[in-house]
Parts: sequence; structure tokens; C-alpha cells
Amino acid sequence: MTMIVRASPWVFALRLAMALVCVPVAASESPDWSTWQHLRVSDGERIQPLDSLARTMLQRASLWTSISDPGSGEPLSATALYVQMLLEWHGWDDVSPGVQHAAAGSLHLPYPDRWDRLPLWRVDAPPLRRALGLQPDQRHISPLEVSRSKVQLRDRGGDTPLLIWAAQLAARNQESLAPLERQALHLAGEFRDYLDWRGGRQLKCVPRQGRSATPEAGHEWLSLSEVVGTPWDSTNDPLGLMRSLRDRFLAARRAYLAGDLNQFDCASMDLRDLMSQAGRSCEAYPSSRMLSAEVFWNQWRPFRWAWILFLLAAAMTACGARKDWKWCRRSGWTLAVSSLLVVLVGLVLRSVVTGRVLVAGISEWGAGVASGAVLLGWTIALLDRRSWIMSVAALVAAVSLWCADSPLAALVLPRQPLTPDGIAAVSWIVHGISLSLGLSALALAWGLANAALLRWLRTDEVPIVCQGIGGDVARAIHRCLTIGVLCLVTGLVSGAIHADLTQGRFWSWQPHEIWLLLTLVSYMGILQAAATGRIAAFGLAVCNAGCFMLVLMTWFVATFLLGADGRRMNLSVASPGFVLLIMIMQLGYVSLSVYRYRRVRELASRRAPSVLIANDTSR
Amino acid sequence: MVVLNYCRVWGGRAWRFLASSRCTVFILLVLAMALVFGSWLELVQGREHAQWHVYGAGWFAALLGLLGVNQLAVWAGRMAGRRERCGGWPVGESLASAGLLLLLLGAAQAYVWGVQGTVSLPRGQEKETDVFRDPSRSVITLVHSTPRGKVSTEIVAALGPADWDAGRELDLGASHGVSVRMVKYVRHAVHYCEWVADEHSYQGPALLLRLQNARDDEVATQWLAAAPSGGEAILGPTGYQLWPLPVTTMLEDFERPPVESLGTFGVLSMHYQGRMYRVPIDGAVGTQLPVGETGVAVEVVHYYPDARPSPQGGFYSRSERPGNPLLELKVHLRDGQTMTAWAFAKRPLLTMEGVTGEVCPVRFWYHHGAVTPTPGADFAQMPDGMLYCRTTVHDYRTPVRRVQVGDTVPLGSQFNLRVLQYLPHARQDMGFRSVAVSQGAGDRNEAAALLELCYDGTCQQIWLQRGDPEYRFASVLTSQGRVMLSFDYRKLPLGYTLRACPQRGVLSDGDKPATAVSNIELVDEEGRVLRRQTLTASQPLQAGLYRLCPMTKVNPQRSDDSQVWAVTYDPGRIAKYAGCGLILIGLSIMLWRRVSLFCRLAWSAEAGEVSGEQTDRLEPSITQGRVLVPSPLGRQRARSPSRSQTP
Repeated sequence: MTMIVRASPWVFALRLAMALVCVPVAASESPDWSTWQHLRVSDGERIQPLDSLARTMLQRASLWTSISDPGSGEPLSATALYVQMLLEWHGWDDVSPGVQHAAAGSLHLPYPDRWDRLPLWRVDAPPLRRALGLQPDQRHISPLEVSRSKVQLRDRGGDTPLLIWAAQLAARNQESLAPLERQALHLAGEFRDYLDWRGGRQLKCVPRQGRSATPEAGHEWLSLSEVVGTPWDSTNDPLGLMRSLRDRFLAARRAYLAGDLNQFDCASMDLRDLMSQAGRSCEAYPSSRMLSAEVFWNQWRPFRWAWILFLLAAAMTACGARKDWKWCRRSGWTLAVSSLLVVLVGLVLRSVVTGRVLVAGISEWGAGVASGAVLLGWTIALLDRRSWIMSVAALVAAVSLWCADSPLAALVLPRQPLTPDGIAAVSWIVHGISLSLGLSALALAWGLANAALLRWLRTDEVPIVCQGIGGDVARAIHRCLTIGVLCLVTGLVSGAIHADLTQGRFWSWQPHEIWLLLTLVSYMGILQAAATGRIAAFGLAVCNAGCFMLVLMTWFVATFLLGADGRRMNLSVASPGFVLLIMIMQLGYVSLSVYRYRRVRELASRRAPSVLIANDTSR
Repeated sequence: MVVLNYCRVWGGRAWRFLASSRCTVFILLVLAMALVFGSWLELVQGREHAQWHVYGAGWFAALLGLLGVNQLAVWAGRMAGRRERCGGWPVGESLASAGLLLLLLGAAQAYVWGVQGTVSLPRGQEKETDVFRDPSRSVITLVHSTPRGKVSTEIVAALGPADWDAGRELDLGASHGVSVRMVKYVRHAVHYCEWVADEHSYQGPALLLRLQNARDDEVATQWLAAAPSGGEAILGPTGYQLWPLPVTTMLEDFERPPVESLGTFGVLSMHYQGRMYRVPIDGAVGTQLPVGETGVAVEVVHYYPDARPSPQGGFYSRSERPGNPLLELKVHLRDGQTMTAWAFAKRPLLTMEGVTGEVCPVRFWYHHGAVTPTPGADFAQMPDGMLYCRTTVHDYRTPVRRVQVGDTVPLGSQFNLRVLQYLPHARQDMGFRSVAVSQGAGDRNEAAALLELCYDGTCQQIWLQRGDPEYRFASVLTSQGRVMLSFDYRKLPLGYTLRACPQRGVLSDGDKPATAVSNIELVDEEGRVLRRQTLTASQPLQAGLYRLCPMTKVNPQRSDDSQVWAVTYDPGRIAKYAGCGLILIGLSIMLWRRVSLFCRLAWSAEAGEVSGEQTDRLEPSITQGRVLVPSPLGRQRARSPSRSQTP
């Protein structure tokens, strides 16, 4: 029995490792999409594998990472979805330039197929939902529905087709549009993009020959539609590369439609090789190794595994601490170390393949905060010899990584990184690291505070228990707050210096600056109150749990409402209501704790007032 | 003496409150509320409102100043306390206070003497400038011609982030007998030009038409206005005409034009004294045609098949092809008077009365086979204001029908025309109106001001739009001479000439991140190049007083836009940097000391190793009916005991 108990974590770990390593093998009757995943395409900013582009597009449209095949119901990857949409587009039946040009200007779906009926776009904005007449349980809308949608407008007699209305809105002054009009325009834009993507007009896949093709110069890249629809001859295609590309693509399509998988795979590989050959003239064309690394990152999704592992680690360390099972505690620590390694490897890999720095987007932020919280949690847990702190740190890291891995992260456009150069770059790096570390510390303090409140919520013996927890909690929270405040100040100062050096403004009362300052002042107020004895353990926990909402608010304001650098989230796709819900839940939880604490203390004081007075150090 | 004592007592109290941490907390609370309010204002009304009402307002600066005074008082109090107690110097607190003071000092310097502006040059072209724009101030310039030369008057004002309420005016002063007032200000303005009812009833009619499909979906909406000679508009593939008929009998021409018997030269309809007389022109050129039995005769002087105006003042035919048929007529009235008139087949209502100065009592409508109907609709306004319409569908004219507002006229091919509005007499109303601007949309809808220019008892109102290439200038001819008005941002001299050079290859590849890059040269007054530099976001240019930083990212796909640099002058930069450094150091010391003390006390309490003075600090003691509870840092705070806590 002892052997079984001892071996069980290792068996679990082995099974987990097997689950991680073993990639589900594709069924023999389905095409091999891996060739297409590795196609190099340009999105106007950087060259990336088609897999990344398809994933980003799908996540931004629907908040899904994969989708079910409308026919068979089998799960489809983003690449498989897009390639099937591309190949099944009826426009490839006639590739003459006139037909392609006419298709580019069309806003109709004359021959709707199964992909046109696929609910693809998430619509969360209430005004738009009302205008489109969506059912309460209908979250997504299909391209066909959009093309047939009508909206009821007050100033017009009858229903107006959404696309016609949007075309009229597009001709109007964009600044004067109401929120509903902007959302409708955005949805119509998505529909237009859908048609362009299906027709291959936005799929920039080949650098134009004979010119310096760069990822930013989108016009220097030929779209698939141009490759297929251009009448190539020996004058505009002396090497015959474009003609070969066109022929290979059409051959792949024929094989796909005929269900000849072997022929399709061969044609797909030929197409990939030809594209690579055409891309050699481009200096920035990424190597195959880099491309494979990015596809591997996409498929592996290290942040997802990391948050799952962190969750397990939190559960095991908590269980070990509660039951005093050493093996459980050790397994938890091992899992946490493994998760941290996974996060760090994923972060480095992501920085290498995308060229983004630490704080470029939500994914990077989440991973940075998770790493910081775990490292800090370890340090405090080791110093205090309290393994439950580690459990809380792992939980905080799991939440943070879940945010980094969620499709919402794809909605926020990543910030353009800067060239490392001089003091400005140093200040930027310091700003990023210190803010990440500061947020990690504050997040850990928030986790500790909530854990303490939960303990207080469950106990009836206020004085003695509270004092016991109060000692640990107060010390840990106080440490985290101190580190967090110092890092926030450093981040704020280095950010101001960076802004001064690069934009000539030291402080300009931007929303993110303001809310960061408010957060800082609030946390300093908590520290000051603790230092002067106005609050103790319970007060520290309550204030800390409440103040973390300011951190959330800072992120919410800077990202959703008043985002700078064009990083504002598209509100027609995702409603910011979930952030408000989290804040309300947190404040409710804090209020409940306070009520419970006061009530228990009152009851306890009636029973034994002298004991209360003697031990009441945990207000 | 009493007053002096009173002042001393209250002054001491005020100073003690000012030097207390309670005051600091109070100020910080107010500041926090102001910031939340500013953030809300920014969300609801935009950044400019928040900047104007909160961050750039005097009360906000005063609040920050009060915080500075408070910190100074706290610091002074701390120093005094140290001398009295002869205790240790609170290094951390003092450094943090001093840092905050320095930071506020730097901010105050920047607030008073700092400058923030922009300079823009067209991208991809070699252009130069020696001034930059200060977006916080507007300038209204009045250039007045006087016998001694031109006099220029500049009025600088901060006009605010919102539209002015009705009745609010700004007197900009007078110069050489010409006074200017701003009577209206629209922060985000859009130019409009629309038709409104003409209260004097001497302008032509106007119709607001909507082209719609069979499901009543709007395709296009447009005004169709007419001068006395008619008006036309084009909506997609269809054309529309509006004819204000001067006499009632012309409805016959509009309703039943001669189609069968047009011949080669066409048919002329003559309208006189409430009756219509039609005559064929074939064989009538050079002859006199009697207008019924009225005694009036019309002589067809000349037929121009493809008429064009001649430089001598008349017409000539460019070819024999009937491209623009025209008849030159001579009207012989009963009293022997003769008048010259012209009848245009393409413009039936066009007369040359405005040129000749003679009003002919006979009206003509010249029908010609070369004038084919265009797909669309024609409207005719009767003298009594009634409106008639005929449509042309597939080269066939439909019967004339009377239309009113709201009526729908079928145009064939599943299209309809709807009359949305009808103004029997309409005039064009031009100006600027306020437009709601979304967040972060920039200043594409610039401000517009309605200026009232008064001279010699006469007042004239002129709209100007700030910085707009077309509408920022206006020229008014007065009895005092020509007055030029302009409305723009304040321009400040750079102290040198900034020359933008065409872009080199500035793009980054996939591995290296992109930055904003611009090539510029600094040129002195004598044309010498002082410096040549590639400006990047991480390497701005410091030249003279100002620092230049690129504001926009280079976008090679848009070569027609401008490169904009932020121009800043911040005299408080050193103080701010020093203040930040001191704050960081002070806070680090402060927090380190607190953490170490906190941990030491907590550990001691947990391990039961408390003894001596520490034991006294950790154990709550009750003195004189008050419970003293130890804080984590050992300071004791008095609490009133509850009823159950009576010792």
C-alpha cells in the first residue's frame, strides 16, 4: 500500500508526460494539413506561418481556438478550417482576371456553402445584438446570416440590409458614428474580410519577384488571388515560378475536391516548396527552423499546459499542507518547477519567433506575472517555511496563465516593440520588468489575501485562529506589498523617463498613468495604515483584496476603455462585462468576509470578552 | 494685539494641520477623486475635455501645489521634531518628501514655462519649416490695409474643448475702425451646404430625392435644386431635372411634347397671354410667325444645329450635326418694339434675359428630335407651386402625374424614386455645424468660428475653420479697404529651419522590430546645414531649446501623409529626474526598514522570543480605560474599549 501511495505521483507524472508528448495522429482519411501550416505568409507586419495567421484570425473573430466541422462534427484546427474554406471557394472555378476582379468587388454570397453557414463571428455588444435580432442564446453569427441581416432603424420606415447600411456608413464621417453604427460597420468589415480571405485576396503568400519584399510592405507581397488570377507569361514571369505555383495550387484543389488525398498531399508539398523557392529573394524570409518553432509553439501551447500544471501543483501542495503528506507536497513542488520551466521556455520561444519583448501583449504579460508570482511565492514560502503560500502562488500563476492563453489575448493588439537603443531601451526594459514583477507581487498578495479571507470565512473561533493566520498572512502580504509598491514606483518612474526620452513628455496624465498612480497611492496607503497600526492582519487582507481591483481597473481602462497605442479591444466582439463581473464578485466576497468576521467577533466577545481583548491583534 | 494672537493661534493650528499626515491623506484623497473624475470625463467626453477641466485646470495645479506645501511642512516638522527629540534622522521619509517636492517643482516649471507642440512636414518630399504649432492656443489674425500699409493684429486665445453656448461671445477688439467679435465657436466642425426654405420667396425650388430599390432600401439621397432655367442632378445611372415653369401653359409642353411631328428643325411652342401656339420650324427660318391673333409676331432669325457661344457675344454653330439646337428669334410686339430671344432645345427654360436686360413677354419651348430623354425623372413646378413629374423608362416617357412629399415614382428596373422634401423656394445654407467625434479620432474635424466683422455701422458674419487649407482664410472688402481674416493655431519659432529629407529604406525585417525613422536636417539662417540626423523613436533630436520626437510610425503604404514630430521644451526635466531618484531611494529605505521591523516583530511573536521592551509593545495594555493595541510595527494606537471590554 505504501508503495502504491509512493508511486502514484510518478505514475501520474508519467501519464501526464505521455499526454503532453503524444500528438493525436490524424486519421488516414483526412488530409495532412501540416504542409499548409508551414506556409509562409505576410500579414503586413511580419512573416509568419499560415498556422499562426489562421489561429489569430479565428480567435479574433469567434474567440475560439478550434472549431467543429459543420458536416462531420469533428474538431478542426484553424489551418484546416481556413484551407478548406479556401479550396472550396467556388471562385477558383474560373480564374480569368475579369472574374477574379468581379469577385473582389462583390458583397454577396450567390452560392452559399457549408462554410458560409458556419457561425463564425461572436457578437457580444448588446446594441448590435438587438439590432440584428439575435436570440439570447445565440452568441455567434454566420456570414450568410450577416449577408441577409436587416436592421431596424428609427429614422427609416422599414428594415435596412446590414451590408447596405454599412456601405452608407462607410461613406460618412467616421468620427461622427454612434457606437451601434461603428459595431455594424465593424461586422460588415469582417464580412468583407471573410470574402477576401476566402477568395485568397488577403492571403499574401509570395514576395513579388525582383523587388525588396519586406513584411511591412504588404503591397510587395502577392496574394494567392493575384498569383492564380494574373495572366502570367514570359515577360512578367520569366522563370515560370508563378505559373508553376498557380498550377500546383489548382492541382491541389482538384485533388482535394476529388478526395484524392495522396495527390493532394503531393501537390501541397510541391506548393510549399515552390513558395519557399519564390521567397528566397526576400531577405526577411524566416528559416524553416524558425517556422517549425512557431508552429510547434502554436500546437504545443505551453501556457495552457503551464496553467494546468500550476493548477495541479496548487492542489497538491494545498493537499500536502493540509494532510501533511510529504509526497504530495513534494510532487506539488516538482510540478510547480516543471510548470515554471515550461513558462520560461514558452516565453523565450515566443519572444524569439515573434520578435516581441516581455510586455508586448497580454500573453507576454500573463506569463511574466505568473513567473514572478511563483518565484516570489517560493521565496516567501521557503523563508517562512509555509508551503500553503506556494499553493496560493501556483494558483495565482495558473489564473494569470489562463488569461495569457485565453482567446481574449488575441483581441488586444500587441504593442510594437522598440529597437534596443541607449537609455531609452534600458528604461523600457526596466519599466517592463519592474511592472511585471510589481504586478506579480500584487497578484500574489491578492491571492494570499483571498486565501486568508476564505480561512476566516470558514472558522468560528476568531481570536485564536485569526491570530495564527494573521501572523503568517500579514507577514507574507506585507512583504508582497512592499516589493509590489517598490516595483510599481520603479516601473512608473522608468516609464516616465522612457516617455520623456522617446516622446518628449514626462507625464501627460494618460489613463494608464493615472490608474497606475491611483493603484500605487492606494497600496502605499495600505502600507502606511499597517505601519501606523490602523489595520492589522484582517484589515490588510481586506484592503489588499479590494485594492487589487484597482490593478484590474488599470488594465481594464488602459486596454478596453481608453487604450493607448491602438491597443483598445474591439468591443463589438467581446463585451467588457466579464471584468466588471469579476470586480463585483470580488467586492461581494470581501463584503461577506467582513460581515462574517464582525459577526463571529461579536459572538466571541459575548462569550469571552477578556480573551478577545487579549488576542485581538488581527483586526 | 488680540487679532495678532488670534491670527497666531489659528495660523499655528493651520500650520500644524498642514504639516500633519492627515492633511497629506486628505489631499491625496481629493487628488484621487479628481483623477477618477478626469478619467471618467475622458471616457465620456474625450481627452481634450479632461485636459481642459481637470489636468490643465488651475485648481488642479493648486491642488498639486498644496501637496507640495504639505510635504514641505511635513519635512520641516520632521526636522524640528528631530532637533527636539535628538533622535535619529528619518532618512527614508525625508528623501521621499524631498523627492516629491522636487518632482512637483519640476512639474510646476513645466506647467508655467514648458511648451508642447507639433511640427509636420509632408513625407517623402524635401520641405522645410522654421515654426511649430502650439495646439493649446489659437490665433485669429486680422490684416487690415491702411494708407500707410498693411497692419496685422494677432489675437491669441485658448478657446476650450467644447462648443460655445448660444449667446456666448468674445470681443476680439478693433483695429482701424474694424471690430471683430467671435459669436459662435464649434470645437469639432463639419462643413455643410444644404437647402432650406427661402423666406423671401425669390429663389428656385429644391427637392430632396431618395433612390431606393423594390424593398425600399435606400440607394442614394440627393438634393435637386433649380435656378429659373432649371436644374439637374445625377443619382447613379439616372438623371433628374427640375423645371420651374414660368407660365401655366408650359405644362402642356411638359405633359404632351410633340414627338411625331418634329421634322428636321423641330417645333417651337410659344406661350403668350395664357395660350400656347406651336409652329414647326422646318421652312420657317427667316420668316415671321404670328403668335395667334394677338398681333405679336416671332421671327426665326437663325437656326444653329450645334450652337456654341462666340467670342463676339452671339452664337455660332460648330457643326451641322444637331448637337445643341438653338433658335435665334426676334419678337415683334404690338407697339412696334422688337426684342431678341433665344430658344434652346436642351434647356427649354433658359433665357438670355440676364444678359440682355430685357424681359420678353413671350415664352418659348423649343422641341427638337435630337434631344432624347435620359432615363430618370423630370419634375415641373407650376407657378402656383404644384409639382408634376414624368419619368423615362427604357426611352419611353410615362404619363405626367402630380406628386407630393412622400410620393414614390417608379423608375423601372425595380428602382423607385421617393420625394422626401419639397421646398417651393429654397436657398443654400452654408456654414459649419458641430459633429460628435469619437475617442482618439484626432483633429480631423477642426474647430470653426463664426466671426462678426463690423465697420461703418455694417456687420458681416464669416465662418472660418482653424487650420483648414480652404476655410481658414477669408477676405472682406470694406469701405476701409480689404480686410484679411485667418484662424489658425499659434505658431512659435523653432530658432532654426527644419528640413525633411526623402525617406531612405527605413523598414525593418521580421526579426527586428519596426521604429519610426525620419531623416532631417537643421539649417541656420544663412542656409548652412548645422546637423543632419536620422530621427528614431529612441533617439530624438535635441536642438536649441526644443526636443523633437517622431510621433507617427513610418508607413510606406501611405506616401502622401505627413511626418509629425512632437516639439517639447521642459525646463523642469532635471528636477523631475532628481525627484524621481530621491523618491526611489527614500521609499526603498523606508520600506526596507519597515519590512525588517515587521518581520522581526512577527517572527519574535511567533517564536515566543519576545522579551523586554518588545514584550511590552506586543502585549496589549490597558491604561486609563483605553485599550492600547500593538501594531505590527510596534506603535501603539489607542482604542476606546467596548462595553464588554471593561477591565
